[in-house]
Amino acid sequence: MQGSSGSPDIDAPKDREMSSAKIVIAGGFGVGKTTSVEAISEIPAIRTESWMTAAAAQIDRLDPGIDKVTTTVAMDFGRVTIDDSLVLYLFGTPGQPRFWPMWDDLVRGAVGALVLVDTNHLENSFAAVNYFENDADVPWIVCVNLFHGVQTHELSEVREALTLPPHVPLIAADIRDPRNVAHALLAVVNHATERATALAGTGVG
Amino acid sequence: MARRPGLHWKVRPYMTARGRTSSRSPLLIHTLVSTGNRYDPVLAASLTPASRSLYEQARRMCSVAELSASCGLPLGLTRLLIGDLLKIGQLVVHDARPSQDLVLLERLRAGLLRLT
Repeated sequence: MQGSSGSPDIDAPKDREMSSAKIVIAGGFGVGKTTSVEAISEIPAIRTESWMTAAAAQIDRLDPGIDKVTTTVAMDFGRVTIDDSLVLYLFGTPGQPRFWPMWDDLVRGAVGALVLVDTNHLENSFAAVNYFENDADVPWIVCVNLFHGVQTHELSEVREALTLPPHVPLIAADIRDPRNVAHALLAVVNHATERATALAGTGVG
Repeated sequence: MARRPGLHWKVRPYMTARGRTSSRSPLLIHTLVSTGNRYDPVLAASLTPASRSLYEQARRMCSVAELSASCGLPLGLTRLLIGDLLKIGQLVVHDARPSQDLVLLERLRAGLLRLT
């Protein structure tokens, strides 16, 4: 089969110049962030710790109740090779709200974000939904994690319970399954594409 | 002197960073960094243990986050030390495409579709 001649030319990676992109996976504690990263990552999910230190220069933004200069934060990330010159990194956010200064850092430059929710513990993901709705400027979607592959609530009920704006896509996936995770990430990319296309359409320069 | 891959923080990171607390150009956590197919053993020997560890790890291109993890260094310090090595031309940054670039998004779409 030949490539359609009408489609825009994708930059030929002749120079083998590698580049990277990032999608953030957010959500409350125990919602499956690490599981989803592990499901699709081609390397074992890497856990890094002790990110917030004096050298991070963000200490002044920490909760004043925290008097430690160095705070240990655990975060998982994984990697997916997209093509011969593009790597996609997946970063799971640390769940605790007190690490929000780090969320800004994680989210900066992201293609988009996938917010996971557990319908049995919706409240665990309220903070993440709030964050992306109010404090971040990246395309984001919400994904109901089908624990054991079972959908226990209608998506419309979930949308209402989360008071999710109509423009934010809501999907369901069993994030233990790599193909399901790929679908969910695809939904993030599609949403980002729609937004970028809309912005390109309005921003006539 | 024995050097272990994981550093033990008996000194505060800002001591290693010689008192500085921020780097001039913020590197994103997924920015790819490498030594650019070059390796200078004399330079490596002259570096502090933390910088040397970063320089060695970057012989294989990887992200700032991976360097932070593999060298056992906090992210802020990792960025700072990478910044120093960039300044003296010993590391190369492989610039990430703008995250809302339509060509990038299309490539991601094609790549992810293959995994579904």
